[in-house]
Amino acid sequence: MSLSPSTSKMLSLKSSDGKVLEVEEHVAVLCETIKSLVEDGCADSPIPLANVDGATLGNVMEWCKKHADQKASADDLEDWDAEFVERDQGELYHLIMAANYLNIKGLLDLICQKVADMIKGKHPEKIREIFNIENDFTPEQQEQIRKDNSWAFE
Amino acid sequence: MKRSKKSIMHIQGKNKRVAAEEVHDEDQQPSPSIKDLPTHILIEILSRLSVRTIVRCRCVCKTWLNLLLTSLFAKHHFTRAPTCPLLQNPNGKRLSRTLCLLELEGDSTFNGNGSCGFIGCSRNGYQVNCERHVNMKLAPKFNMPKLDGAKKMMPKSSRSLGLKLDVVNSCNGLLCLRGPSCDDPVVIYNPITGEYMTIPTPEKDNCVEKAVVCGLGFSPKSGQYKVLRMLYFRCPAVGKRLFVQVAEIHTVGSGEWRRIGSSSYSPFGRSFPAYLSLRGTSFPAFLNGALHWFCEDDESPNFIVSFDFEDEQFRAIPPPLPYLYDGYSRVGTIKFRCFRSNKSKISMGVLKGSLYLCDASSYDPIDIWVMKDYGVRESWFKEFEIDTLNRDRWPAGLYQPIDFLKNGDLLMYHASNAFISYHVNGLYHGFKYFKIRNIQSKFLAIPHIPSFVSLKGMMGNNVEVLNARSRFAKIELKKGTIDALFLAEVDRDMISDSDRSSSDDESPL
Repeated sequence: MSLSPSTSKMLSLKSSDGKVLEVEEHVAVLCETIKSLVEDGCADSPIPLANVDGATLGNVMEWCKKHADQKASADDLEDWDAEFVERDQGELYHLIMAANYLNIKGLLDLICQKVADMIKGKHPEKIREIFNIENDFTPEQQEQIRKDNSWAFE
Repeated sequence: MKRSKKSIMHIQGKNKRVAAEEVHDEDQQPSPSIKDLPTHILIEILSRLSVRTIVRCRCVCKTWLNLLLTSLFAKHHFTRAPTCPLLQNPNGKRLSRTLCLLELEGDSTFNGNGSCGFIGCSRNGYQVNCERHVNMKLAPKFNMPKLDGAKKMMPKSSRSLGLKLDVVNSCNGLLCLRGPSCDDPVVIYNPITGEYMTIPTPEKDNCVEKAVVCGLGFSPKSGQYKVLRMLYFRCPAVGKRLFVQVAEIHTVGSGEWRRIGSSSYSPFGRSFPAYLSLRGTSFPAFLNGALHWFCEDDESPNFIVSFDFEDEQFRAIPPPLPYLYDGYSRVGTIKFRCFRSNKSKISMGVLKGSLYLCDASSYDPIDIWVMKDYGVRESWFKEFEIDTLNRDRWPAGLYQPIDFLKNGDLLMYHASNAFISYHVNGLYHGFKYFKIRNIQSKFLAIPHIPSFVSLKGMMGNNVEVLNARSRFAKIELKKGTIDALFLAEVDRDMISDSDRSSSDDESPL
């Protein structure tokens, strides 16, 4: 099917759990991975995205839609992004993995910064607690490593 | 400063962990979390943190520890680390060996409260003793190495000063240090890793009258680190009163110094100003494989000179157009405006990969010029023209831009022992003033990009690398512990008059 550039062509994306999402092409091409498919002319049938589940795909496309909107101002986008990343860790994890897989630099940057902000200024005990990380140092190793890096705890 | 922009996204970590694989171990399927992210994404996240938080993260678990010690992490961190001021007290006996890293994207200070307090924004009303919410203890601190055997190198008169070293310049995350009384570079030091190495002492030459200027640089093509020193050289054949200038280079790892220019050598038909051997208002800036000095002189026009570590040549860098006016005088073939009466109010450095000049000599406005295309005079662009009388009166004196903060504000060192963050948003503009507390004499702010890259790895196997932290940290903490420095935000209305005019009467030298 061939459409003039002025009318927005729709692409269908198929998630790992079989959900099909209809997305405007100019929105979907914010994903570099999809963009190359479109450019190579391989984007006609529903595009299978084996690494992204339906819920995450919906979230990703919501972000892309907002950022494809020419009318959105920089301040507006910043506020919108700040709200967008207010999610639990599971969702953030899936969004990072999807942004990585679909190669969306802006979204990957956004979520990575969000996670970095969750870590910054925290002590190791707190970081373990936030991310549910097991302390796998022996007490001796623990003491040594704290001593070696004591200058960062002053 | 050439920093590789290579994306790590291409590099898939070896121990890539996919959450789905672990899920089967559990009866219930726990939702995957941040800790299950693949290595290259963890690097992407952790490299955004401040040096202090990164070092704390080493203590979280073995996976993070090992990850943070890889050269892959160190290199990626360096490509995105902001320029930070390293603070050094030049005079005080107790602080002189200690450097404080002020981290811009750090844990709270500059970005924490957004733009509150700026003109046009809702103002955070409450005040406590005229200092607002920010009162940040400055850390981390680094002790500069002491030199075994350095006493032997120094003249007797200066031994009583101890073995304190001064910072000459910063290049690729490394500092070049020199002794307090000898102008020769003696040590290359990475304060973040604590690693340092000594630079071989040049052979004694009785004709050498005085070392003038030195610095560490990197030649990107050959991948070599080189140290430059320039000296006055007495010419015995002509008579002892005639001096010529000589430049010498030490290629790190070679173990020797070689002369690259001799008596006929004279880059601009004039000598390098002698006071460059003192601390200037700004440190020499490393950019594009070359070191740059802003030369101020009482007797002749100021100029920028560069030394290219690739071809080992000195060059003059053309100044912005307004500085080329009728009152110029001639330096080599390039004409420079003479602005000598405003000594110490002009700084030079690197902002976002471009050379800048910040001219506060007329007080209003403060002009910040940026050279968009390196070496091209026409590309000088007045990036900021700061209206200092608009609503809040700005302090007078030297300003030295350091870097842009994440919120777009420009952080500048100010000669009243303070930092200023300058905020512009459309028509609104304003500043915040942060005073360094607990310091008597004027500190120096060395623009520095912190690096976890190992000195050993950079310099190769044929150099001996020691660690200042492992050998001296404990000794230093015991006695004469350094008082903590604090950074406190001061309300603009409360900036004292002495701060406002701090550098009118005394130079920060």
